[in-house]
Amino acid sequence: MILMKKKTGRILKETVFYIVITVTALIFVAPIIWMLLTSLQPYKNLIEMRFRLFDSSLETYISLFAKQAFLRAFRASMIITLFSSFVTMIVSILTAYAAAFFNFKGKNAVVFGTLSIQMAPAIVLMIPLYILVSKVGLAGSFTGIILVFVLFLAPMTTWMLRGFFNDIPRALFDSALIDGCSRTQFIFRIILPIVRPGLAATFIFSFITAWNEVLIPLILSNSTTSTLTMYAASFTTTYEVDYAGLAATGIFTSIPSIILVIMFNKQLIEGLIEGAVKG
Amino acid sequence: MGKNNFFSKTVNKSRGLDDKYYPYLLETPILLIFLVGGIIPIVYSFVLSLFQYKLNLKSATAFVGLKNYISLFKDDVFLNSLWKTAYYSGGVIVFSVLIGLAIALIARRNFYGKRLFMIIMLLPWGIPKVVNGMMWKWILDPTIGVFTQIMKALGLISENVYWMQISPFVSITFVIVADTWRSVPFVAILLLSALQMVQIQLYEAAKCDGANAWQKFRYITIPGIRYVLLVVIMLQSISSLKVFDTLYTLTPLGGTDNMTTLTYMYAYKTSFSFLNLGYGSAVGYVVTLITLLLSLSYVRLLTKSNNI
Repeated sequence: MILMKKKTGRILKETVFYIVITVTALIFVAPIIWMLLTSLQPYKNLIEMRFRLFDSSLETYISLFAKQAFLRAFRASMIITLFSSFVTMIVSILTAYAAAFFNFKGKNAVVFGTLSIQMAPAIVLMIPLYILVSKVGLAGSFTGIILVFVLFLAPMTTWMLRGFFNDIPRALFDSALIDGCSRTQFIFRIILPIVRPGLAATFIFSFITAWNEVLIPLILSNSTTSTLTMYAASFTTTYEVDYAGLAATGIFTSIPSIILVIMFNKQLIEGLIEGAVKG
Repeated sequence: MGKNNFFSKTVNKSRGLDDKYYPYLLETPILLIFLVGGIIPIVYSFVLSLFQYKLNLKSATAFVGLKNYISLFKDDVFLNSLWKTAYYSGGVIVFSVLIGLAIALIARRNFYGKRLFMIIMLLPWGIPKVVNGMMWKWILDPTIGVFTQIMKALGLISENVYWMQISPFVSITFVIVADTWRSVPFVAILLLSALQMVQIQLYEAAKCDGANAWQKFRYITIPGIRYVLLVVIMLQSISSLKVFDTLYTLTPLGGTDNMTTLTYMYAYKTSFSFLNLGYGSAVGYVVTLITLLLSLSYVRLLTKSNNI
């Protein structure tokens, strides 16, 4: 009898637990799914405030892809995100390597100094950077925007990579050098293959951050270099909001990040922890 | 070192570079970034804040000393923005940390579908903040918004309500909700990882000693995750001072009558809408000072709690 009671108690407890977990998950996923479903509704359904799952179509997306401004923004986002993440990776690999394996004067100053850029409010840096970029003649250009992106991404990714590099045993470094491996070869032959998951996490982190960024392009870009986030935001500044277009653009803008999150959730979590907590 | 001298010498030659300078060579790019992206702009923007510098009136550029800062204290929009920022930051920090901690505590054990749960929790974090603002703008739409519909169905309102035009307090509360929704998963994941590092034996020992759930939470869980908790609060408060994207799409450019003009948004607005870069820099510098003070106090707190 007592055993039975204990068992039903446990089952009840388990049920409550799974209900709580499900509801929590729903709260966080529902707005996204709602946005997705809306983006599939034909425009006239939205105006008449009818919602019919059966009417779902890719109509809004197709009309989106017919728009020049959208395609241009998509291209700009791709170029800026890929190039800035790539350059950021090179810079932060070099920095993290030096910080993890060498002792040199001013090492801590470099690490904390660069980190303080990340802490500083971007707008304060952006006002002078806007003037500087214009004076150098890079106003509105991809080069200018990408360089400024790297300025903001590199401190964060360096911090993350440093955490991964610190996990590599120092003895490996010493013995590789004794075996005749040069210090530069050590990066390519040994470190990079070992920390591949860390590199992936860092790259994805930088990709998502760059892809989602709106303040920098808002200040620096012109009509050819304005990004997808800017295009998405433009939906909300008009008086009559086109919600079908808004939902479709919103979903489309979120797709790269969402795919990366689903594919690399394990590494991302590791990266988040490495970057934020371990340091 | 004596025995290895031979090897290290040959290795040195093949590198063709002096040991002393090698790390600095590696650091060159980041040092350039630090200089161009950090030091120069910070100094430059302080200098700017001492000037009247407007992009639309080039001839009017003039040194005005601390005049911009003095005007700040007579500027109602700015002064109100400080209170609004305090309310917003406080709200986001409290809600995201409490809800995040609750979720982390629930999800710390193993259960079916944990992996899926974690992925779902990461999704809002992957949504661009801009899109998050758009999404909530639409949830709060006075006619077709889901929130409006729910309130109507519950009989709480009978006609369309412009939620974002009631009062600054209400508007900012909705911004807090929007940003909490997006940042809770981040907080929960970090805290969860910290919880999983707390030793289970401690709980078992406490159980033997007859500790109740609250005591276990207070004396084992909290000390165990204290460091991460502090880091999370720090990250949340620093990033909440820099709220921009959500505001930009949820209530474009500070909303009606500057209702949602938080300090950071005000710096953007004065600089790039009104093209008053001098005054904008001064506003931005105030945000920088607050961030600096916060960071310093957190660093002290962290080093202190590490010693214990």
